[in-house]
Amino acid sequence: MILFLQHALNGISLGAVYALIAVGITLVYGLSRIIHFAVGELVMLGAYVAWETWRLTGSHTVGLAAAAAVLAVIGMITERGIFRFTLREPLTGFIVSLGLIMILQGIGIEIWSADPRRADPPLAGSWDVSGLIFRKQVAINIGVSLLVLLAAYAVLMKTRYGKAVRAVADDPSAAALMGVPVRFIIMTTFIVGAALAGVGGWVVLTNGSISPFVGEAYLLRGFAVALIGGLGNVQGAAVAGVGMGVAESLAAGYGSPGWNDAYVFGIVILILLWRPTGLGRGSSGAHL
Amino acid sequence: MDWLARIKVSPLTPYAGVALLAVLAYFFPYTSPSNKTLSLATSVVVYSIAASGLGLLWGQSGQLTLAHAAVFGLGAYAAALTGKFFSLGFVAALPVSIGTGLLAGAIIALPSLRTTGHYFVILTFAIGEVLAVVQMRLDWLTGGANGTTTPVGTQSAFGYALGQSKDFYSLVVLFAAIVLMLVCYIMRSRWGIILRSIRENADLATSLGVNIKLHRLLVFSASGAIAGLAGQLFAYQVKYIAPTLFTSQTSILLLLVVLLGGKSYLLGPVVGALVYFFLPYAFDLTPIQSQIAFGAVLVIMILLAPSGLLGSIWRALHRTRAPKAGAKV
Amino acid sequence: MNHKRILLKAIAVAALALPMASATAQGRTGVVKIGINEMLSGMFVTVGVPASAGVRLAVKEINDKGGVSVGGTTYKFEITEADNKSSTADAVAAMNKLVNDDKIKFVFGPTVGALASQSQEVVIPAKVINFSAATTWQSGGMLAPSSKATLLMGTQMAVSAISTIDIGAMKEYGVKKVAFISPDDETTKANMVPFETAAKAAGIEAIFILHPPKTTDYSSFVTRAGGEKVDGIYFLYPQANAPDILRAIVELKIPIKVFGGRALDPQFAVKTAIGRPLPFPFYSTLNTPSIDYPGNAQVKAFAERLRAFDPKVVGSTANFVFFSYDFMHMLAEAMKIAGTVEDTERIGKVLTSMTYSGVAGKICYNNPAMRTASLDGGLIYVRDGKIEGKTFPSSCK
Repeated sequence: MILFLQHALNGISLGAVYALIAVGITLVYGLSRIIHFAVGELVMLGAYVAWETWRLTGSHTVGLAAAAAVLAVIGMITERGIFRFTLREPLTGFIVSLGLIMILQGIGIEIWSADPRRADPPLAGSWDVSGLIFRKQVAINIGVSLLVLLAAYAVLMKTRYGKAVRAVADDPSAAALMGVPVRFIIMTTFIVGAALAGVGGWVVLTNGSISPFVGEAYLLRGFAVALIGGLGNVQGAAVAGVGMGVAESLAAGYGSPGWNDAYVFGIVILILLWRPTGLGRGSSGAHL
Repeated sequence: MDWLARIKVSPLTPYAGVALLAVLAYFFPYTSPSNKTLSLATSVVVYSIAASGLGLLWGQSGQLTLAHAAVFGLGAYAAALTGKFFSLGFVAALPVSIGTGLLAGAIIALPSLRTTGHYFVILTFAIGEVLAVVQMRLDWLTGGANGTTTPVGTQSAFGYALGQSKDFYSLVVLFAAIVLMLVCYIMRSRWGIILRSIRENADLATSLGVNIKLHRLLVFSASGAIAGLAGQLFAYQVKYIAPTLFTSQTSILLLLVVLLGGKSYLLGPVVGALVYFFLPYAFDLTPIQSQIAFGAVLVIMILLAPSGLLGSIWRALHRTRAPKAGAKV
Repeated sequence: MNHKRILLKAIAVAALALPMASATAQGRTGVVKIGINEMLSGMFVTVGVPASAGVRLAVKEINDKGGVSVGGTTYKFEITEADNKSSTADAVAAMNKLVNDDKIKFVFGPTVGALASQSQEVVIPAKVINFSAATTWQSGGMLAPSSKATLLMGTQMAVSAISTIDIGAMKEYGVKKVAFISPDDETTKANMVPFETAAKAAGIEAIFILHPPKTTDYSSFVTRAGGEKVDGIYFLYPQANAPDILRAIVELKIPIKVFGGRALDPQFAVKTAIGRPLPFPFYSTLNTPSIDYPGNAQVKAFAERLRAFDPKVVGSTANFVFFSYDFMHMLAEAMKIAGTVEDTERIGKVLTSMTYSGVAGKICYNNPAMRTASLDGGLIYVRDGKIEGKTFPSSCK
């Protein structure tokens, strides 16, 4: 039993990253209808920004802030430079994100080479709670992810800005009539989504080694999670993210993990077939 | 550009064009190209065939798929494995690989009856990835990550020695000519009109009594059959196949090739493949540099020139012609 | 008198001309092309770069000394190098180019199993002598006496021999049950059976935990090992991820007696990812001498020579250089003995019957069960933060 719990606990830390990515995907989708597949590469960039900052300053806190800030800027650049031209045709936006994957991954290899990199972890050691091991690093990572997600949620639910976001998600033309700057609000979701991916990158870095290919695995999981949670549904994405992490950890602990990718894609296929717009609330409109 | 207006397009002109192109391509080895150039040229032709299948599907019926590389891979595995386990030769394997592609295409079409738009594209992405994992895990059959070799040996087909790079290239050109003429025939047939009507407005097509589901199924099968054929040619060209060759990355590459040339043009895939394979060679780009360059090309093309190089050229020609034509009236 | 003079002159001229004539006979020169098919980029670049450097350094040394004299002709070596980008498809294409287009008869690499086990299909029909340390050649029976592929030359000691060293160290620490953690791929599979056999012979129970190849978070797999109550963990590869798994073991408090691995940098144990020494002993087995912790003056001098030649060759995987450096010299010797640079079958026969004294000790093909070389091996222990080396001399006479 304690072993099972330990596996579940290990999974939560994996799931935290998935949740961060999925919330980014879901937010962008909810407002722009664009499925942004390059989010995995944004995680990769976030990890390297955090790594470079750590090398320069020796501080992981600065690294976290830098990853979020730099990625927010990248999110804005991609939206202003590219994605805003694809709002009318979401499929175009999706194809554009495939091109971005090629560009960003290639740039990652050119700058940092394909060799794995790592940072000294900010926190070593663990707490032993009657046999259940809480790694300090994992506790921090879960804490940071949770805080960031809660903050995002609070902003969405409690602020004027959040109200505007929800209005655009519900009905962009109605929101525009009410005087909501729709284009601007959409741009901010790209910024927030990228910043969340940056935080995810920081978590990946503090957990282990990073390489320019690190984005792939996280994207696929993150996207599956966004679908399971219901595209456009922030709470759903967070919960599904943790669920995915735990399921993967249990598969590694008890099953044959070589098939993991097939299971994940199998879930994606089934959901898309059964309920094309994903699980969670509703299937036609976006919900926040 | 008056001449453009004066050309009377006979119904046979496109076929003659394809035939002329094929003859030119067929005699390319007689210019004694280097091994590198010849192997690039072979890749261009093989990918032109594969991309023609995608062009038919995406350009004509408007349905994009990211599982095309997986179907292409199934054709390749069908050829390699039947050769390995049942000693099937090149010619005997042809119906198997084409049939495999056709069937796979039809199966992938099934979800499109329920799911549309970019959800369907993502669904095909997932299907492609699942197939890659299956190819990886069924190592008793496929050799797993190690892949499997195609038993080319000293075989020859239709008088061409398959192991000789010049002979093989010539054979591939013949196949490409046949495929292009077939696609041309489809594009100009009544069926082609139906497919384009589905692309332009599915609801309208339905209201006019077009059975969209049936035609989707048919065009997916045709596209799959072409991909299966290309897969077999690919397996015989590289003599070695592995699951990593047929992931969604290859599908994205095929998408790029089709988009680059012009997705609704018969020769779009050919132009796209030429640019894709010879551009890095011409500029001496490393694989990583060309990955970045083509990523950028993909983004720029879809935003600024979604009708591809051929579409842009066509429009440029027409733009220069338009005022004169107007002046005449 | 006149006649005599003429005669003398003639003799003098002849006396001068004779050695000159023989000098031109001896002065015949030729070129032998050597192919390299290695991972110069991609996932296994840290393996491919030293493996390639070994051939290049050996060729430079031979050419600088004037080349190798075979049957009255002096040959210099010329290298054609191909980067297979760590991909099997590219390795096969590169081999096709080297062997079929460039008509090269002697190829080094690829060193990684999955790549070598496919590119061999190109090499065998062309009767090319191909050197590689790929373990898949051993597990696939390519090097067995019954195999028809007589020109594939294994350059690392038999996997069973190194597994015995691995397990010997586990036994030394009193391990009863060991977990073998490795990516779920062909290289791992080639190492599993010998490891299990060696463990069984030593009375140790071995369990195998395979993870997806791109794993960097080892928590689940380490937890699984803990759940199996193992008291030893063995980590085959990738070497670069050793700090990740060590950190997981320490933080998840898995009570093991020792951690062992293949060709790991002992610095991982001294200055670990957790910032303090490991709470358990660490060892690393090498199927070559160690470049970083040379056991003798010869290896030490070689390490300096190598670093001066190619500064890119660094780190724990630098010893892959031994799988090519000594063997390139040995190949040149074999050509001399065989008296040919063309007849690969004759050269192959000489290679398998000679003993060459190289930097990695005495090297020969004396294993009756498979055509793979015996050379010096090493074991590096890290105990209480101190690094100690141990050499296992080759079994050649």
